[in-house]
Amino acid sequence: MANQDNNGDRKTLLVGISNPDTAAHLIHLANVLAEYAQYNVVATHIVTAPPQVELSSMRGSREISEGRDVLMQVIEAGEQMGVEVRGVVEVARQVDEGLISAARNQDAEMLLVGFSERDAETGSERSFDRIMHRVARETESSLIIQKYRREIEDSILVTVATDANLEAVSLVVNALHAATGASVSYLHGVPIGADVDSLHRELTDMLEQYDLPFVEKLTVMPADSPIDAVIEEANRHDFTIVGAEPRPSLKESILGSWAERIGTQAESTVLVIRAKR
Amino acid sequence: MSADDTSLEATSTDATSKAGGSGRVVEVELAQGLGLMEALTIGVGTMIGAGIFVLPGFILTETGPAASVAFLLGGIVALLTALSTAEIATGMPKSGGGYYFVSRAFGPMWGAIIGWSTWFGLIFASAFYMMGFGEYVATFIGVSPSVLALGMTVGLTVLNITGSKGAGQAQNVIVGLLAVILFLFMGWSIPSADPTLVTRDFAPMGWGAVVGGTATLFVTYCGFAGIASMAEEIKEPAKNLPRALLGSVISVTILYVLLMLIVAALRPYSELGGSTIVADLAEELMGGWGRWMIMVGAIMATVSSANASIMAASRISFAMGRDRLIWGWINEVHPKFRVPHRAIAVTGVLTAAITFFGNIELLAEVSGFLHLVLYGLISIACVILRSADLDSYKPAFRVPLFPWLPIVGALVTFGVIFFMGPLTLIIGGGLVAFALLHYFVMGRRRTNLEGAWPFFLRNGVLEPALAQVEKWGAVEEELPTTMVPVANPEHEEARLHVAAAVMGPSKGRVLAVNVFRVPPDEDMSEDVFERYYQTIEQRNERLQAASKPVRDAGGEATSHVIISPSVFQALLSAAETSHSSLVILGWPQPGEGREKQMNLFDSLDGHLRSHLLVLRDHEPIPAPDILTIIDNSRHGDLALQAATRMTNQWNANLTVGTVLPEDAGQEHIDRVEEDLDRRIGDTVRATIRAIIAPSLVDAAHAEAPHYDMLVVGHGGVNEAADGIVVPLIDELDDITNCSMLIARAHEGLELQ
Repeated sequence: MANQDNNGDRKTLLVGISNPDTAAHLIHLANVLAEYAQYNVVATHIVTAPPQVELSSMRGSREISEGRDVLMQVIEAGEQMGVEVRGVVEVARQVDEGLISAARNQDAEMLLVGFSERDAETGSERSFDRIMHRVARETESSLIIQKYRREIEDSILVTVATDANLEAVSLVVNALHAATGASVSYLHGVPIGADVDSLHRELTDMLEQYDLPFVEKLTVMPADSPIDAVIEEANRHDFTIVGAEPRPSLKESILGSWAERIGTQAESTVLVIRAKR
Repeated sequence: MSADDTSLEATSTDATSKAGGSGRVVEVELAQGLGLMEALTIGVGTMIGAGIFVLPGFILTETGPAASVAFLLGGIVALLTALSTAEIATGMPKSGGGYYFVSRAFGPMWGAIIGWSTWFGLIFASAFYMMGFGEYVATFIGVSPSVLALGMTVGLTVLNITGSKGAGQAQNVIVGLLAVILFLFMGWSIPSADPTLVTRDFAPMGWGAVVGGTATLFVTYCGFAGIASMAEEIKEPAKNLPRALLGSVISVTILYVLLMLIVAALRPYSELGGSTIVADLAEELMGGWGRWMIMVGAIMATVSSANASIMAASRISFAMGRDRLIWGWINEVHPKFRVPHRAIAVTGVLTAAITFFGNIELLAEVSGFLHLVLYGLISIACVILRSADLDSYKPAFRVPLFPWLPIVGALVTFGVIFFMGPLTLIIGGGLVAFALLHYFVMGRRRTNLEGAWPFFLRNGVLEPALAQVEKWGAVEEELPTTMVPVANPEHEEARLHVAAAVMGPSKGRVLAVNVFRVPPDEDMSEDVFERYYQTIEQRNERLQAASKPVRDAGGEATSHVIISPSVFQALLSAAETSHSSLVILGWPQPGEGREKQMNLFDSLDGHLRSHLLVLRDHEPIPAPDILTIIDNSRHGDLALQAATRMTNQWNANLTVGTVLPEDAGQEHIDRVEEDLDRRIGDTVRATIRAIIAPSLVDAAHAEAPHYDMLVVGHGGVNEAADGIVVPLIDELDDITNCSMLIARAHEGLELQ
């Protein structure tokens, strides 16, 4: 497309927006990433169509017009933050299908979606649902799921285990650090009795390869229940960044049990990151 | 949503720009969520319904062991239709099912017939599935099948009205389970099969009865064309749609034929009657759990097929509503559930009413009749659409052995109808008559629908006939001519590319002319050619070589070198004598000669009795991204037509925009977009945009960086000036980062 030439070789960051209230945090994060990595930001709102009608017959519907309004608000919010946002209403059978299709149609390098803490209808605490799992399973773009709790003031915690998502994690950490000046620390939870020193050396080498800041602030923490220890530590920070499980077993959620538990239980804002396929 | 609102369907995307710049644009995009497997599953799932559980008994009694041939014949008929469906579905810019194809090929009357027939066909099919459900369930709960069928119909109708989003998703699981159940039954039965039961007396009732059997069982193949109505949701439809259509028909045919061969080898055919024969055999061979397994399969199949039919029926009524062939109120969308609840309710009520007929075989046959009418017409539509040589019809998949295969497909399909029972023919014929009556009483006054039929007559029948006559030397046919004045053939190939594309489906003639200027006092007597013979020959050769894009596009390219002291006079008379309907000029070059060129353009604008396009080319040509900015004038029409043809010829992306003032409200924007949509119609896939800007010139400057070509058709930027072309060239001269095409339509000359 000619408009891509016009913007040079910029890659696209696609942001899934469901309603304008939760959108502000996503657009804020998108802005931080776009400034750091020079992304074009595209906001998408998914309108679902029942199987009794053709997708195209939704044109002119109230839902599309509402979707446009939501995106116009996002575009305006972006303008105020100084980020140019383009809006796309995606008509799909299901929300997950819409997000996957929009990421493919926009050739998105990265897809950023929010996950609300509580179910809008029942008010109950939610774990990552079918929508998130299908998106994580099928989208080719790298994926960030944000569970928003609070803004970054001074600290970011990155949980590390393998190097599977570290390239994407490194981009996000560097972008957040550059924008906020927050300090970054790294944590790896292990069962008691593990060889802490050699793990520390291995992980330090791994982090250094990915150009991450404050690598010296890596802690390998032995605990009876490593995951609970990590969650407890996460509560002391504003942001926690978790890599998705690279090879989830069938029993686990596609994002991995750690990501799932930290995402639902930690009191900080959590970003679950899965690298591009 | 009223029926009128839904006409926005003409494009795959539409967009609204509220503030001119590229930043504040909200586009609408349709998700493509179906891969090959999903599309295949939908096809297989729609076909495997009640039929294969309910009908084997009837068909075996009717035909004997040759029942497998009856099923094979049904599969062949379906396959022939699937080929045509695949071609049309990949050739049409919009997605649509059989109704859409037939109405676009034949026009509104046949559209009405086929719309109603498909709707009734689906109602009869639902009733048949529901009766099958009732018969199966009644065997173990002792309630009348009709009551069970009625209860389930009401349940499904309510489920569809309340917007059952999960209904479609269960399809994959159901199809998988059905396949497992049927293969398990077949595998289990093979050791008990006696092949001599099949071979001993293969077609005891004769081959006529076998074709009659096909007529009865055809309902088991109904629904595959529904995949085509989902084209907009299928990833890479050009590749996956034909595969899904053909793949589903072939796999279902194999399954049915195998099943029938095995069933016929289990018992003498005279003992194989009744609507629950498969379950009875399963119980005999596998015990009680075999019966349960088949029961579960039959119930799942009937319910899922009936559900799919009710959904499809609401889509048909929606599509007819869009073409104003049906009352608008029926398609109103429920404010909460977002479904056309009235259309679904009517389908449900009619289905419930018809289940009381109680004759399951008759329901199957009437549904088969109505589907066969549709399928036969799809084959003919394929012949019409391809032969009509429409600009908008560029199929990615083409039926082999054209036109013979679709013609055979239509003949075989209609042939099967003649083997149906008289009652079926009376009911089916009555429904078609109702559709016709409804069209003449109501639909004809309201619809704007036009078919490709006249184009077929002109391009598919008349022109080939004339060409044949011309070959015999009887008539010299006149082709529409586009004239391209070329000063320097090596550097002006772009205009010939544009000419080749704009020439479009009419496969007209492009006349490349070069004016060889001689001094005013030159003696113009006959020997002037002798004097300049060599130069003229060289120029002619270069013109011919430069006309390659035209020949590549299938057009006829001719060249003339005109010797004249006046370029204006030469071009004017060349356009007149060649009856050129269109002249394509190059943009005036900066420098010394510019003023002279502008004067020439002004004079041509005033005197030329052809349409005029002025092109400034910029790499790339062919342009991949085209924006046309048009108003309501005839110049806008010409620009839209030129842009459409280039888009279709070059497989480009087209955006059609119109300029609106900054104070335009959303309602105004929506109305204008809808108007644009209507003007574009079915000719091309385009994005529609209302461009908010103070003027055309501002809009062009703001948008040009985002496209490769800008096509402008406007009634004039400077009202004080006489002409259209020169003021536009002046205003748009500083846009140098994309190709620019200005359209000026001649009054009174029809756009070709």
